[in-house]
Amino acid sequence: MSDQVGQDNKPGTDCENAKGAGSSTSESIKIKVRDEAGMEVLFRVKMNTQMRKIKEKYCEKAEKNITHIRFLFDGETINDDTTPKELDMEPDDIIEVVSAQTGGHRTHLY
Amino acid sequence: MSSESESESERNDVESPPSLGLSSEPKTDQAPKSNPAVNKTKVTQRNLQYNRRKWGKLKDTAKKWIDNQGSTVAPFVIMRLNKGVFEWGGPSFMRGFAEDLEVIVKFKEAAFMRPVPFRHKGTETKKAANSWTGVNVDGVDLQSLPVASLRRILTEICNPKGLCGFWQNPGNKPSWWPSDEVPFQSPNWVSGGGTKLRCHQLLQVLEAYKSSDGTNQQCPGPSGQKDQPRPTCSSKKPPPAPPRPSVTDRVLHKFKKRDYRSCLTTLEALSWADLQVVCNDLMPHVIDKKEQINTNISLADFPASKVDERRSKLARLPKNFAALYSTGDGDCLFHSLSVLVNGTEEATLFIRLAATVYGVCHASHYVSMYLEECGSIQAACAFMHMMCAHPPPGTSIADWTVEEIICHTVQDQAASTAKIQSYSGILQVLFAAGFLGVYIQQYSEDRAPGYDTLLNPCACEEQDGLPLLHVMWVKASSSGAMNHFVPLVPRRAQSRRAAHKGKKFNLGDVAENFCTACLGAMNMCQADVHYLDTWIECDECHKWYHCLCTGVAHAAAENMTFVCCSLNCSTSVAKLDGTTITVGDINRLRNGEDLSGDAIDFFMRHFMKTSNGADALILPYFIGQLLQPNSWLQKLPLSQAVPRMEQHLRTVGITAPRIQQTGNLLLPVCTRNHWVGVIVQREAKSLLILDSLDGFLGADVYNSLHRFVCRYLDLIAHCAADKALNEEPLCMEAPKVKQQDNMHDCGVFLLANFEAFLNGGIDELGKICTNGMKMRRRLITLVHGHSS
Repeated sequence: MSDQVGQDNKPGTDCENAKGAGSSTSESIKIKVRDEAGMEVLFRVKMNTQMRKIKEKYCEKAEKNITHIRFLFDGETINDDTTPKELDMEPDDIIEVVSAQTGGHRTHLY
Repeated sequence: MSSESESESERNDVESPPSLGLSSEPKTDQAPKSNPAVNKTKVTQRNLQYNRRKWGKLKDTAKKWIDNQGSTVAPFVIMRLNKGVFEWGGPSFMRGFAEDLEVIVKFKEAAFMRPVPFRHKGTETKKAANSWTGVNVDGVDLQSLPVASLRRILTEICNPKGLCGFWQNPGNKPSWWPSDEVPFQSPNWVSGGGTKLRCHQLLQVLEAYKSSDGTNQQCPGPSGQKDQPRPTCSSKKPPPAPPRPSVTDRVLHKFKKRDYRSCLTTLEALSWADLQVVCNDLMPHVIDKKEQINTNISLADFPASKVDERRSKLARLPKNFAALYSTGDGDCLFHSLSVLVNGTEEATLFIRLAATVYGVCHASHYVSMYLEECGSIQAACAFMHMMCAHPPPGTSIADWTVEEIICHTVQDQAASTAKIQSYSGILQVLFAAGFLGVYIQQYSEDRAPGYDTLLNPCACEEQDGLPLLHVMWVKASSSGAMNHFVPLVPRRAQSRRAAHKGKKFNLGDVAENFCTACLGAMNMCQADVHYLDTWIECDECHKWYHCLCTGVAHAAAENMTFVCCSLNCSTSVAKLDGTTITVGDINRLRNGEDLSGDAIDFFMRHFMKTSNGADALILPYFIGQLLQPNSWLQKLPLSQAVPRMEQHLRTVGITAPRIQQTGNLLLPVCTRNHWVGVIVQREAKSLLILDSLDGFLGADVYNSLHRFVCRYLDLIAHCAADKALNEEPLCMEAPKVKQQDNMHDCGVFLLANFEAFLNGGIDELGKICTNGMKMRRRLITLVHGHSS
């Protein structure tokens, strides 16, 4: 069922987000992203990587459209500009992926 | 009434046979029924043949497309033919499918062969008849259509209005009809002894229609989007050969007989080029009839019954003036001017006619005047909105130049002045001022830029020492927009003072001082709110908005990315209990688009907070996604589903006992791109489905919803420690709720329904009195309260 994909962020790829060269910058954790069907993708992320980056990487791996998905953690929708540190993430935490939905038709003239 | 047929395609998002989505009978929201008098067996046969051939082809294409996409979101699209023009509705990711040329051609073939008639008899409105644009048969393989369809298409082309006795009159024969080979007669039947038109004859006629570019004497409208003529500025020179010289004579004859009503009706139906020819000829006659205007009128000249006492007390009325009544039937501007000029409303039609003639003759002057004022496309668009002009149906003004936009606006408004009882705007006041040779000072009940200016005659006329008339824009009812004119007269006769050249109507100011959201719908301007003075600019198109109209907090306005036209802009505006609303969501609300689940969740939390502690629990929208047959909830056996459920509850952030102890569970569900509300009432053991579009989903969707909710609650009971609280079966109900009148307001009505339920329980549901636009405006204002 679960499809484990290890992904190592190469050092330096998310350095542009690092605000200071403190001890927390080098610290990284493993988190899982799981979709509705139970497929899991494993990420190793630094504590102050923006969630937008993880989302983009995930969409690349799982071949999904970034505007069609939402990340959930502890019952809350994750904003693109938050970091694992702000969300108090711990190693092996699971992020759930749900699809975004819109309802209602708009007539497009063609 | 438009003729339409729809096609639907969908992935199996509910447990139902796949034939359901592509139902054999094309569904329509207006539900046209075939004539019961028609021979039933014949209809069945035609139905069968129709389904097997064309509809089947379309179905195959849809299936292929869905298989290629492999998307997790259930695709759903509505297509229809509206007067021969193809339209589609649905989520934007379906654009690739709906605008595929192959699909369109297949759909058109299927729609043309539809066994129900194109048009209902007798429901055609005058407006619809005027906006006829011709049947577009491009790309349709005529050879493969059955004879019955050919007959129908030909009827539709030649006699779109379904006139009686049309075919008996040889004068109605279109110019493209191949006269030598085929007699001009109705394709459907023949009166008196002749023979019906044969298949090859019908094909011959239709081919002739195709090669003549679909233009027709009866329907001078453009045939397709690509052929839409753009307005040109060669308005000074009328076309060399006047096409119908008799029209001018006819209008002049009627004008001399003082039958202004028929004159206006004739002018209304003319194309712009013809209108110019006629108006140029009419101009000297109209000027001749103009009477000397008595400028020394005062309140004493009118009986007390004519004075509108309530409006005479309005705060923005000029000092020493009183308002008079004018009939509010769409002609109110011309009634008002007639009262000011003549003392009675007798001259209304004459002034309307004269304003039309003046507007058409001077259109090029006005175009050049406004061209000087509008430097940018943005200003031109603002001008167009302000003048309430619309782009021609089916075209986009995206690639128009400033000149084309202004030219179109002025011409559109000048031509529409001829429509009796149609509302007037600033341009109509301007035309009337030009003809009467007066300054018209406008006042407005509300503070609205551009509506309190002085309008003077066209620059080519004498400008000094003209009399001054006063009219006021007021609201017809106590709430709503300013949509009525009343004349203002001085309380005491004034000595004729030299009228000064007042402030010219300056468009640049208007474009700068207007919030784009308010501009789109004038009545959105919320004058009673104090903090309208904080503004935010779109980072892409540099339009300006009130912060209130965008939901953005004042403090955040400076630093955030705000893009007014992106529906996917993910900049968050406000947060509430773990839900977030983004700029894109608010753009959807403002533009009348479909609503996203995040927005629904956000507003649900808000209503929960303001409901004075209702015994209810809001479940987030994505729980509804488990409704899909391939989700774990439906697939896994009980032993595996329980641990998965525990995980799911952790993710959602709700505990099983909490769900079990709450009296009412509220869940928004989006199925087939339509939002419905689901409420579980513990005590009544009932499951309410709030659907603002009855009959859209069908009983099987309701049943699978019921099954899903029962399964969900069953698993919750297994997760909870207290097994005694095992679920009893729920009985399903669909209470009557207010129905939406379009296809995009389901999310908004869902919120209105849930709010009513939270505030007053099930009894409140039927009492909702709101409409989509009102509710959307209110929701945007609500966001503002939470933004930080």
